[in-house]
Amino acid sequence: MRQFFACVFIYLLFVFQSTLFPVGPQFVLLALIVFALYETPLIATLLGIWAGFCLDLTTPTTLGVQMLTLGGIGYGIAVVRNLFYRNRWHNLLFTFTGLLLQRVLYYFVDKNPFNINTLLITTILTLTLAPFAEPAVVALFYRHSKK
Amino acid sequence: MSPPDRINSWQDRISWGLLLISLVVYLLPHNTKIRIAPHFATILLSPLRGIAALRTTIATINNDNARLARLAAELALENARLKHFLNLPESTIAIPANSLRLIRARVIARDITTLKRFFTITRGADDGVQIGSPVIVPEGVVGRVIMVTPHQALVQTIFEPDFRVAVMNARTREIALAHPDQKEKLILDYVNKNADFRIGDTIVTSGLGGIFPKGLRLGVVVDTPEQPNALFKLVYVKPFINIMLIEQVFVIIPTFPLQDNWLDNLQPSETKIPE
Repeated sequence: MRQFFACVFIYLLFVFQSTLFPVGPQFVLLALIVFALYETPLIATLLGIWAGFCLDLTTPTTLGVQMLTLGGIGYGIAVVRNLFYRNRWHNLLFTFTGLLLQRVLYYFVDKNPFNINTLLITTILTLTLAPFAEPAVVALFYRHSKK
Repeated sequence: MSPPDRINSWQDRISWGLLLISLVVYLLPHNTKIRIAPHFATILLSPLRGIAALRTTIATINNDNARLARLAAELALENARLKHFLNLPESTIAIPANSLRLIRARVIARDITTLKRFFTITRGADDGVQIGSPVIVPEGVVGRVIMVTPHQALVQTIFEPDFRVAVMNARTREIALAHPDQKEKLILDYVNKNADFRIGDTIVTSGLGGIFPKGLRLGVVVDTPEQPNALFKLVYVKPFINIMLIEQVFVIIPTFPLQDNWLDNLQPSETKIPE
């Protein structure tokens, strides 16, 4: 049930992000990273693919790119998180890596380079919000979790 | 669970399978994606329309916007009629005013990765929007519709690398084919080496493609670098529109079916010079 609500939550963030903040923090990515830190690799991958699918629908010509990227990010974080003791600043690292991966992969499959200004704004805002993402998502979904 | 065990677990195998499926989806042909996506977009993007409508309702200036937009459309058509009466040689505005219908649409969604190249608008097939319908703002051409669902449409802007439009120099009537470069400018292809293109010349659509009506403003010539050994003249055009500031657009609904002509929106490799 919690996974279902996580899907709904990601979808709502996608609506929020696409409608109000096309140039702004990547709420979907931030939430996905937190879910990946608490869920199994399979669930994290599914959530990532779902998030990517939603984002891909706004640009169907590249359908599949965000699915692949966010699915990979979800799975990667879910696997990597157990390999070392996790500090709070690791979330920043995960977010930065996620953003970088997203952009780099998109750069390779797409024909146009990114506008550096929007890229910088998005990156800075996303990284700024990254430390707050985990407490917020945990309060909503994992309040009674032992993790 | 140690890392090697984890990699071999059933969960990981399914995860890799799902990622593989995503890769397959990405590798699907362009047309298949365009065909599949509207079915999901209609459902999943419907809240975007709802939110856009809610915001409009909350903002009490909605009525003013509608009135001003209607006024702008009427003025644009009147302007076209007046220019026609001025007896300009092959008038720069040659849109038969009674053969086109303009509908106003709001931009409701953009994605950060394709911010300047695609956006979704609030009008769809139920409003008469067709694939290929030109999208404009008072400043000039914005793009064309490439995907239509009953209540929304996806617009490919003039900055999308696949975008092509047949254009002409409003002053000298020389024709060319415009496509975007990677610096938010347009490049004109197949410009005659001896053609008279000067900095400051206005570029308008030529109407040859069968999709964009003749005379829509596109941009202004900003550079014509000398290339002694080139077959064609290189012309850079700065578009009139600022794509980041566009909130509302007009979709041109033709009263005749859009032609699938050779000139607009062909890939460079497919483009041929007419004999």
